[in-house]
Amino acid sequence: MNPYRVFFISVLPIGIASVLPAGCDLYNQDDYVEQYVVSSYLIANEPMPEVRLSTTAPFDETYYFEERAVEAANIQIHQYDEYGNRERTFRYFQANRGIYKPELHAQKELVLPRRTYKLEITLPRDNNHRITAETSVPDTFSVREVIRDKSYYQSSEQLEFRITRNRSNNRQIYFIYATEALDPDEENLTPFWRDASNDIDELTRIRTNIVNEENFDVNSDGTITLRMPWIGIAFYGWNIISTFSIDDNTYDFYRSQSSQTGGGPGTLPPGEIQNIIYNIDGGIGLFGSMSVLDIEVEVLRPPNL
Amino acid sequence: MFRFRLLFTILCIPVFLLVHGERANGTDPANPSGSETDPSPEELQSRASINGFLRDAETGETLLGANILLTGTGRGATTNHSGYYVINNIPSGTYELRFSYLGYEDLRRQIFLSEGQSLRLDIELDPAGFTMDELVITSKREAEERQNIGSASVSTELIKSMPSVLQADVFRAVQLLPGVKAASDFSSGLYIRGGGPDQTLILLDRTTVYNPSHFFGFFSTFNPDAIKDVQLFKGAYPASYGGRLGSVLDVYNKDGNRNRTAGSVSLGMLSSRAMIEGPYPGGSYMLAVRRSTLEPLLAVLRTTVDNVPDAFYFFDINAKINYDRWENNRLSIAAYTGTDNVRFPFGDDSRLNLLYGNRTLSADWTHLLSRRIFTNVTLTGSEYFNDPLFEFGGTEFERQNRIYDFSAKADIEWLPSQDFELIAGFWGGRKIFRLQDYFDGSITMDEKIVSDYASAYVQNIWRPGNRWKINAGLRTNYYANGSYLRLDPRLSVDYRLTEATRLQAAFGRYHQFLTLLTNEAISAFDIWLFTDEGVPPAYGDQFVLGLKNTSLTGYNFEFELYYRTMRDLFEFDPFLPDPAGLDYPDLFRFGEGYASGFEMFLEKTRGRLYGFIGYTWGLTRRKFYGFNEDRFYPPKYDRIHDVNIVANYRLTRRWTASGVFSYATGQAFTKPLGRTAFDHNPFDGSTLDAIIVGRVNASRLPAYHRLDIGFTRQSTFFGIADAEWQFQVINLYSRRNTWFYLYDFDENPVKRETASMLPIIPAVSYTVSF
Repeated sequence: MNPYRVFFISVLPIGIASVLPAGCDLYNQDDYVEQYVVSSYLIANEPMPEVRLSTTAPFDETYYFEERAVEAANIQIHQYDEYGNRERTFRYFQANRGIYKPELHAQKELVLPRRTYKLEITLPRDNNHRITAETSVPDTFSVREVIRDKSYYQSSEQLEFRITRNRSNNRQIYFIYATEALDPDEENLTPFWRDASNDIDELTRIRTNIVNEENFDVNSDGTITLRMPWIGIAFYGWNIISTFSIDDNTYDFYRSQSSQTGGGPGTLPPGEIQNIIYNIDGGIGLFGSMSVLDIEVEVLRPPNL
Repeated sequence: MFRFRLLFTILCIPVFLLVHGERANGTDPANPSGSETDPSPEELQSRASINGFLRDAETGETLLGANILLTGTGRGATTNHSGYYVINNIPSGTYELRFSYLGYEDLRRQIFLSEGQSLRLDIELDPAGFTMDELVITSKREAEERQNIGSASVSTELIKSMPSVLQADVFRAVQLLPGVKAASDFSSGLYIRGGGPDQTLILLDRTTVYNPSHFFGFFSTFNPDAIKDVQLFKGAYPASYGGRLGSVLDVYNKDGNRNRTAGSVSLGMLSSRAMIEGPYPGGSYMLAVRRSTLEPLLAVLRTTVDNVPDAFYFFDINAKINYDRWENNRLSIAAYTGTDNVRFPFGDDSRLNLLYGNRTLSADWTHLLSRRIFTNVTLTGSEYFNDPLFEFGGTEFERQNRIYDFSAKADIEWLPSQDFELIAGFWGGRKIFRLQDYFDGSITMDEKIVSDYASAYVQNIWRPGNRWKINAGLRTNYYANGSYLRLDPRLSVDYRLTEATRLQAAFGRYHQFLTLLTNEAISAFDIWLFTDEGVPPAYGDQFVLGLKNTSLTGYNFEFELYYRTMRDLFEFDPFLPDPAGLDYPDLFRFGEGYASGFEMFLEKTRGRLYGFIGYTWGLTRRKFYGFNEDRFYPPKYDRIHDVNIVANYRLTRRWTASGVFSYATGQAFTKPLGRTAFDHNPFDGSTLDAIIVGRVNASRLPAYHRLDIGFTRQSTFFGIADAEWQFQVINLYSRRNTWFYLYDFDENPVKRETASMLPIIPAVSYTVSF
């Protein structure tokens, strides 16, 4: 028998039959669908935050928040105690296009640590579309000891503090550090940041990626010793170092967002983009919370710089 | 009866051997059809056998996979990995033996065998000279062995002759075979039948090599001067191998010239190589050294350009020494070391230091226990190290990844008859994995996993008649961390439809106890991670059908159809910002996948024009829980159509032209559908841009195509040595193939930019051989 005939009458049909189902494994590019976008950060012991509500834009179009702002939404945030009992409800009104604030009498109400807040949005103009999310506010923490709040830049004696621990949710604490320069003059820029950006405003307040608690020393009394990495200092002089302890929503959002824009660990192949983790029903965005500790420090310019 | 034997073979190989091993004889000269009656035990006792080694007449190198045929009888054998062959149970008489191997002159030898004689016949074959019109370059192995299901081999001649980016490279040559894909022009990583680079077991002289790349992954670490044989099992590989879900690349270094001292020196644009080999009173040796030669270029650049690396080099050394003056024993020690070193200060206050590489050492003892029993014992040690250090503004981020793998291997081949062969083996050892992260001088992660592992296999090759060949095997794998014990059955069946046509089918189950943290773009930062408590091994099944045909003289045709699954895949979680303090299982994402496709390979092996065309239709899907809404999606390297055409043409006795044309469907990428932004974040007040996507990797980059050409001129070096000029042009028409897209959010609307692959690159090299 001619081998090629055998091939065409036996193996090839099997091959085609096997491949066809795979060929029918339709995995086509889907189309853009507009989504609602929520943004709100609750910070322990600070006033109830604003809620920003907008929609997404097609990728190839211009994006301005004002053009995408969503108006006439009914927004309220419910506060629950540690046992799940509703303690109160904050009603919101539209202060600007797409920007909602607590009703006037509640604007000075503080976000409480260890409380759960549930966001509820309904959109009468969209068939009462409902958006919900919830966050548990991390406990606060405090400085137990300032070991060193003044040091020469990049010296071996780093800025160092001992802080209390606010373990919650049976997980380690996730930190984000931010540094705000109190004298953001171009002359005071540190070499690394001078090379990194020409925009002084951009550098006045900088932040780190997420840093796990396990990176720091835990002392026998349960406190944590924080050593400020020098990369977090953009200006010589006086700076405020803010240590944020973030909730799960903020953790998920920032870790996944940084992988989209190249700030993460970079293990996704170039060109593969995964959606951000939002933890919001009925829309996307971030309804997150955190507690924060501010410490003022002085960074001295070394004589040789 | 056939079905019974098959089942019996799979389930109870040792018993089968005892009962049938000596009885399952092949044909005799008088009855080549195979429809003989089994000889009596007395007849068996009186029959003769032939055994020995096949070597290259010029260098004394053993020839792997060479063919030995007892002309007119249908009997034959193939040399194993040590160049050894045996043909058993031959009735007394006069025969003609034919020895053949690709690229070598056939050798015929008349022999007479008396009753019960065991003839030791070591043979040397002459290499086919360049004047030969039938020079075969694409070294698929002669006859059956070279067309086993799922397998392919690549000759060093192909590796050295084909146009290549700046220097000849083993992996670049392998990437041209159907079923093998490249991630990009910048990556030498092997993506075989839907599997990533971690799914291919890479062995150098039977020793595992973990990250065989130089120059951020641009080249493989294997120096073509040092290599004797490259065997690729693309899928459904036999039970004698294990530990990877997909495939095996088995590389053997040269033993060294046993007859005379020889060597070569090659000067190239990126690196230069030197190799020397020769005999010594006890056997032979080989030493090959390669080093990058970028320093002069960097020195020139430093005078005009900022941010030039302080150091940027790689080197590798291959060495092997053999002692083979005993008739039935051979000892060899092989060593490899390769290192890449980059010291790159950039910006005003930043630097990157990167040191990575491999070291391997193996000692191999081959022993002929009897003319029918061949044993091999190997002790191996392998180290992989990867130490990147970034420093930004006085803050250091440092990682140290180490893998130490010490193992002992033992294999025994028993060839009781022409039609029955039993191979069994053991591979056990200890893997030590260490991953340390340092942040700002303090250790933030210190993961150490020490695990013993062991595997044992038994594999039986049975030829019930002239048409059938059945290879059944079972492999057990044990991994101490987690106490994972896994069984891998393997089966392949080969049916000879006509003298020139074979139908094949194979199935196998495979387990993998490690994974690779890589982003496909740059392999210099690759980190291997191992299975442990809570991180079970990945496993998968492979099904392959094949058709091989050699009915047209000088042509080979191969067709293979495959489907494979991948389950319990574990990969480093790409959303993990900081692994410090996490439990080991929390470092991973888990998922599954599958791949299917078919490959066609048409090879022309004779004449002035020779080469091959390979086509692959392939589909790969994976999914990871919590990603892409738990849907399957194609990985970036998935390409539906993939065509490679490799052609060589002997213009004159001195000049050869070569060309490689590649075409492939564009790789998968994720098309951004929408966008939004988050203003006024409480940390730094900046705006965070967000991309909204639908199905991940549901779009395709533009199709990839590229033409490389080269010319080789043979000459002499002042009449005292052979010399060779190579002139090559990579990407002749300078097609700027798209690597991936970047998005500039400083523009509104967002501006898309293209990261392109290689432009046109001319290259020249000069090699002197003595």
